[in-house]
Order: sequence, then C-alpha cells, then structure tokens
Amino acid sequence: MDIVAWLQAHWLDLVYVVIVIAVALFIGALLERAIRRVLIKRVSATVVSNIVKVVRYGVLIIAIFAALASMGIDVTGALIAGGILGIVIGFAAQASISNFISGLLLVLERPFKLGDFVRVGDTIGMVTEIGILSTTIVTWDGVRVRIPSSQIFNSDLRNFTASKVRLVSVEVQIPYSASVEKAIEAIKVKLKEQWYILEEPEPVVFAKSFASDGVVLEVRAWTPGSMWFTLYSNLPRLVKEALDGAGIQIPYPQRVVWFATPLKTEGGVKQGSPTI
Amino acid sequence: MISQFRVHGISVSIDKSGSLIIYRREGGFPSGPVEKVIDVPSLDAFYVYPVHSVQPEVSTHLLLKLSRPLVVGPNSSISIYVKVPISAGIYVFRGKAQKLIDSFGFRPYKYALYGTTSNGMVCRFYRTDVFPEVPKTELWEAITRITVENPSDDFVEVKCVVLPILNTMIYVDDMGKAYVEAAHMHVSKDGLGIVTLGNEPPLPGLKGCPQQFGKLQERTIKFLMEFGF
Repeated sequence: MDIVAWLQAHWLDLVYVVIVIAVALFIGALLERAIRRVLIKRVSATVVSNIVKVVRYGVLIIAIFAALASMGIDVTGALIAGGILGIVIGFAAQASISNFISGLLLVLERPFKLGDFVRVGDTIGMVTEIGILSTTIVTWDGVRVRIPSSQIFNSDLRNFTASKVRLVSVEVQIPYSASVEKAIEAIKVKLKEQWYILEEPEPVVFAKSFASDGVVLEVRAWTPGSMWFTLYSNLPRLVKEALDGAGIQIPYPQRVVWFATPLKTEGGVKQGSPTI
Repeated sequence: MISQFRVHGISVSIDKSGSLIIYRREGGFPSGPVEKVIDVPSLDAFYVYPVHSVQPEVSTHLLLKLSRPLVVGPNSSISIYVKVPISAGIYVFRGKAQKLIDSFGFRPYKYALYGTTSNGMVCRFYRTDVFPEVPKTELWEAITRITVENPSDDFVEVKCVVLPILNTMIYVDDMGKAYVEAAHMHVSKDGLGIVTLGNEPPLPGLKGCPQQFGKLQERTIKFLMEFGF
C-alpha cells in the first residue's frame, strides 16, 4: 500500500490522533497553570518548573499511547518494554526515587519555607533552596549544605523561626546570703526595659533549686521569633547586669572540708574545725 | 547648622553641606545615631508628621490593653476614646514623590503576644485608659475612637482591642494633636470580636497625614479577634 492509499484509509484516525494530542496539550497547560498557582509560593521556581515538565510530558505520553492504540497499532510491546525499563531504572535509581517521593511529601507537608532557620541532624542554618530531590541550607558560618529530601523526611527536623514567639531561659546562682526576692525583682525590671522581650507573656524569674554554692534562679523570657538570637545572646548579660546593679554577686564555687585527723598548723593543733 | 530640634533627649539636625543635605538623629528609638545624605534642593523639603509607633518587621498590629476593662450592656453599643502610641516621622518631598527617611519614638516600643504561643501573633503593646470624651494627650500619644457593638443578650467585658494599624490613617488637628482613624468592634454571638477600620477620622475637621507605607487608598481593614478581648 502506497502512502496515498494509506492516508486515504486512515485520514480519520490521523485527525483523531491530532485532536487527542491537542486535548492532551490543553490539559497539560491547565495542569501547569494550576500547579504553578499552588506551588509558586511554597517551593522554589526550579522545583515548580521540574514538576511542571514531569506532568506535561506524562500527559503527552499517555495521550500518544492512547491515540496509537485507537489506531489499531499494538502498543503492548512498547508498554512492556517501558515497564521493564522502569523496573531497571527504579532499581538503579532507588535513592533518587526515594528522594523524589520524600521531596513531594515535604512540598505537601511544608515543615519549613525559604528563609527559615532549621536544624536537620547536625546541620543548623537558613533554608535557601527547596528542591524535590534535596534542600540547600546555608550554615551560620556560610557553608552551603545540600541535604537529600529522604534524609530530611526521616530525620528529626527543628524549625527555629516557624513560631511567632520563642522562649529563652537561663539559670543563674545567687549566694544564700542574698535576698531571693530582691534578685528576682532586679532581673524582672531589667528584662522589662528591653524592647525585644515581650510584655505579655511577661518574663518569669523563680527560685528553682538549691545548689552547693547558692540558690539557683531560672529566668525565662519570650521574644518575637525573629528576635530569638538577640535575646539568646543578650539574656546572660542582662541577668548579670541586673544582679550587679542590685549588689548581688554570683557566687564562686565553695567547699567545706572537714579533716578526719587533726590538722597541724603553725599556731598549733586544731580539731574538727572546718576550712573553707 | 541650619535647622535642628531637641526633644526628650532626641537630637535631630539637618545640615546643608555644599549641594548635599545631611540628616542626623541621635537618641530615641530605634536607637541612633542615624545619618543620611538626602538629594533634595532645599530644607523646605523636610516635614515632620506623626507615624505609627511600630517596627513593621516585628509587627503590624497594635494591642491596646485597657487599664480599666469596659463592660458593654446587652444589645447596645458604646463609643470610647483611647490613647494610641505614635512616633515622629521625618519625610522628604520632591514633586509628587515622598519618602519617610526616619521614624523614632522617645522610648523603646514594647510588644506582646495576642493569642496562644503556637497560633498567636505579636502585636505592638500599649496600655491605655478608657475615656468618654477626647482626652488630653502627651507628645507621643494619639487619640482614636472605638465603637464597641454588642448585639448579644448578655454583658460583654472588653479588656483589650487589637487594631491592624500598619496602613491606617493618622490625622492632625489645627493644634498639632494626632489622631488615628476610628475603629468599630462588633462582638459576634459566638464570642469573637470583629474589628473594622474604614478610613473614618475619629473627629470631624481633621487633616490626613502622609501614609507611612504607601499611598492613601480607600479601603476597609478587618481583623478577627479570635483569642478573646
């Protein structure tokens, strides 16, 4: 059968194929727009572009197979070959597929966004890029760390900036001879002067326990999430300044030592007297 | 030195240095010194206007804590006046363009959490009394009117009001006293407070100030007080 005869016999099938592909392209474009709208503020533009490509070509391939099958062309062999190829690629790229699926789940779950400070395993830093296969974090000292999505998905993730407010606490000791009430008041007044410490919930200072050298006070203060490091890095200084201002010294370690046998000194023998 | 003023320990000066104009501030909050070189032809381009006393990167809302809670009767509404914190804003104008080059208050701004630690929001915090008439104010205070509407059959106690202030209007009267646009608080029957601000000055005859974060536009701002009032 020459080409003209073949075309005369199958022109309707060809029109059908063209329509199917056109519809597939249209559906692909609609899906692309919907995906971009949903994901554009959640993940980076590169990730959105990759997802869009996968969806667009996936729809097109399905449409081509459907059209060929409708023309009576046997696509079973191609599908079986594609299936085997898929299994081979699946085994070869097990880690990548694991990362890909984890990446998709992370996109849906959204445990962090660009600019957040997070800790994944031992890595602490700011999220600068969220990809499907991996996420890039820039650590405090400027090192770019690429973390595979499966590792993020399976590890203990801490997001330090997701909360609107953060609590910072510190412990300090005051001598047994000092007034606990006076120390608490001095620390509270000092903390309330700082703009980045929230008025409500107000700072809390309380006597927590008795240590060998003095009474242990715990100081807790809330701050806006964006000001966490400011409070974290200033709280010990503020507490020290407050105690200094109130004339309360942070005690040095002290030990009371009792000698089992009398201690010989230049002045004679002393029995059982404690030495500090 | 061509122009300068000093108030509450804050020193502001504008120097002409050749063809340049140097703006300087020392003291105040956010803490100075601040120094900027401004490209304007003359000192007439500088104006001082009241601006909202808030750092937009920290919060865009104002939590007014009423030092005496307001108890509103059933099926009634009441209008009260409250004090609102403001700061000084230094604007430069050139043609139709304007820019806020500096804003400052005389003491640190304080913030508070409205709501829970997991879902709440950080608000600029200010404690105010409740006044039946327009009260006297200090230099760093403005006045606004809040109308509380209680359509329920029970008394409602209001201890605080949250205003989304970032894009609200500030006005001044002929004496230079500052005002913030009036707010309306509707207490719904399920116990939520809906605060609405709709470009309404609290008193007639007030003049609008330049908008701190963008041009003046007609709009209604709403805020749902879902964590109590």
